Amino acid sequence: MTTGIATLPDYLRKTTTNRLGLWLFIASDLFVFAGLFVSRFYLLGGSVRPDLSQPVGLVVTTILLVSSFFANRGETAMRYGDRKAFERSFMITIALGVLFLIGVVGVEWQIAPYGANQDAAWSLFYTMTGFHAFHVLTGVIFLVVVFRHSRKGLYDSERHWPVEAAAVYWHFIDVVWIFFYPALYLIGLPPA
Amino acid sequence: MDEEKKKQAYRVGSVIFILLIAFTIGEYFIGVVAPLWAAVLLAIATIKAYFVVRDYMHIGRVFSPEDEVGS
Repeated sequence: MTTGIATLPDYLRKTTTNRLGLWLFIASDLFVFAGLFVSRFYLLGGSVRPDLSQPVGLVVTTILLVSSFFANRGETAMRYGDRKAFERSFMITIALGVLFLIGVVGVEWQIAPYGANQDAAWSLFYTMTGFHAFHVLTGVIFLVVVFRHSRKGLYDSERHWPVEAAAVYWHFIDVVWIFFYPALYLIGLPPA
Repeated sequence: MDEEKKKQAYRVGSVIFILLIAFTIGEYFIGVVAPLWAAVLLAIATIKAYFVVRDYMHIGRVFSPEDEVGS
């Protein structure tokens, strides 16, 4: 009869495979973001950028960087068996993720001078930020699920693959924004 | 020993965060002063991404999972 509880070496072996699977998923997802990134330069070149609010761009970027810091802190805490610190850090990450969504969809989209149907460039702006925001939303859901499971005591310092996966996915979202931020907000001048 | 490793891991996380914020501020000012320096801005973004992938996403764990066992 099996108990359903893997031994630690089994769990670590499985984690190694899971980790490879997650990175393969990230690599495949990256192609879509890379396509959008290249399209921005194809459509606007390097001398023009969408007319967006610079302060909003800087604030949402900072929010995402801070959230990544706390995601890393949370994962480290769980790795060393500090569940309380993990929960505190992931809660902050979740809150900052929601703030980022509000900043992009609730503020930037509302104050942007044009809608998605203006032209191809503006359509691409909404696609880039919308596709990224959808990933942020799924990341927040993922973090909430892991947070709830942690409260039920499902993880410890040795068995916490979902915590690592949620953190890695969250950092991936951050990496995408690290490239989207200069592409959308910094490179080029707004059209005269 | 474990406590020392934990402190070290937190320290690395904090240093990377400070670097990311510093690079972002630098990016912002370059964007304001010289928005046509696309190559510089993309180079900074690449450096930031490198730090996140190496130290926050721990890409090394994919290639050396044996480090995990018994740690």
